[in-house]
Amino acid sequence: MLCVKCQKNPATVHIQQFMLNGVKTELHLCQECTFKLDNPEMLISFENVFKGFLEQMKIFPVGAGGVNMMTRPDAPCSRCGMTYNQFKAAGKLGCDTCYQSFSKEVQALLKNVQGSIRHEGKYPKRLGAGIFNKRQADDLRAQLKKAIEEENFEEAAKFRDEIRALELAEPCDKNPEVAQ
Amino acid sequence: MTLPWYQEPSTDEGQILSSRVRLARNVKKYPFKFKLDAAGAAVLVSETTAAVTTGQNYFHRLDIHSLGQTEQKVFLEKHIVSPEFLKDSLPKGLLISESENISVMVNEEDHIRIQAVEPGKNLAAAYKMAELIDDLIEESVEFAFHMEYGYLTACPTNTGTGLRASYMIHLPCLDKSDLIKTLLPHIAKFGITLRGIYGEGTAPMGSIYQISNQNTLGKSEEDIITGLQSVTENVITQEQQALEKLLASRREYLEDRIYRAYGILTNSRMISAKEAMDLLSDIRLGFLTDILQKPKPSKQIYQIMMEIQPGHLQRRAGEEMTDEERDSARAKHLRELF
Ligand SMILES: [Zn+2]
Ligand SMILES: [Zn+2]
Repeated sequence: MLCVKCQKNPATVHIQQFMLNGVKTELHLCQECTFKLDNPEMLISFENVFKGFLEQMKIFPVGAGGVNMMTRPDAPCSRCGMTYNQFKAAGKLGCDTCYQSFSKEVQALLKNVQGSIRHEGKYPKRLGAGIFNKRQADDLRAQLKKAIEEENFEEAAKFRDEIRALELAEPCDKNPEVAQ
Repeated sequence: MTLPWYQEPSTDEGQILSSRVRLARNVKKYPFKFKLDAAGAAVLVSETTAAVTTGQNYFHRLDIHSLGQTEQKVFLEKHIVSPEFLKDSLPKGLLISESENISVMVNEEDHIRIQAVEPGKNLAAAYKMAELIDDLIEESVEFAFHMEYGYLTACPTNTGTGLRASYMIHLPCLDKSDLIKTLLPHIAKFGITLRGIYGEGTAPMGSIYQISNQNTLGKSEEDIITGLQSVTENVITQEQQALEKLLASRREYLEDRIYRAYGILTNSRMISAKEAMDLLSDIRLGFLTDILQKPKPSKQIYQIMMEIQPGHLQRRAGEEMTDEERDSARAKHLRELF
């Protein structure tokens, strides 16, 4: 295996990254690139890892279905006209809709470079509490199912009540505009 | 009145000089910067400016393109703008608070980049400030947001919270002993990066590093901040241990280095930025350990480090300077301060 940075020397240093949520990515570097201090940014530059991943995707398309799961490289985003090839070259997306236009690739990318595909942070206030409640309710429903499977009915009843409370609090959480 | 963070005495008190938070946001109704034309970029600048400056005059609005090269450099050296921000000719907006501790860049890599800095170790306060600006802009602007992915950004490396939290830290002992290299892979395991902040692609100067989170998705803002805090605390423990070792086994060597640094800084007639930064790093360590028994300069060490960068020196001189002229102006400025 060659060093992902210089593409010249054999990679002898393997840095595991993004251990969160059980997803691992490895950064393969040669000794020289790992310890090269004349360019410290390069050592651990996230952008380089990311670009390296984009490169890899060219060779090994992601997903069980292999090539046919990929977006056609010349198919443009419906909103901004960006193609997947352009995205790969630039490392940047053209608009918010690109996240849907290249959904499979973006999802695989996020899984690999971020270690997660689920936002756990702040929500825009204008989306209201509904969006938050909906996600919370989804979580509770999963827990409810599990509790029922385990025949833990006391727990299950508790989850059911919590879901009801959330749904009552936010009657308009099926607003289609919210769901991108 | 709030002081710029680098004028606060707390920046000189420990290994952590400052705490910085950056939030990346994009406006839903415009394509990202890669697909944004000049007309759209200009409207975005005026809309964001209006959103931030509603009913108050707290922020200064600057047109980065109309500033001279020296002024641009000064903003770079202060880390108020990024090299990316100065790259292309699209209309840009720059909003800076009175103290310069809060700033908003419009049309950097993302439409909106909010930045807040606090002196010393205070990420929570920096985040609170950035979040206030975020809420303020959101009053009049709809952000690109995805149910699952969170805030959408031009580069998927910022998607989710759009939050990059960082500390600026001084690690003279780890740096000098090269222990820092062995630390890097361990830090990376936790999704944290450590890099030199001065020198643009060269060796870190003055042993000043920036430590920050890599991942922006899958964790709450609070968890990102506490995660960074605990890794940073670990790094600082390592630095303190390296220092204790040095004090126990090679105290005279350390004293010699610190006093030599003082000798050169107070006597040199020409000095490069790299040499001066490294000497200032030793001096900072000298004051931290009480080894250096000399009067403290009237400014914080980090402020001095900033003032001897090319842009700052040139602005002080009021004219373009050659490398040699800068080296002698730098030496003179340092002699006057110490
Ligand atoms: Zn290499
Ligand atoms: Zn698009």
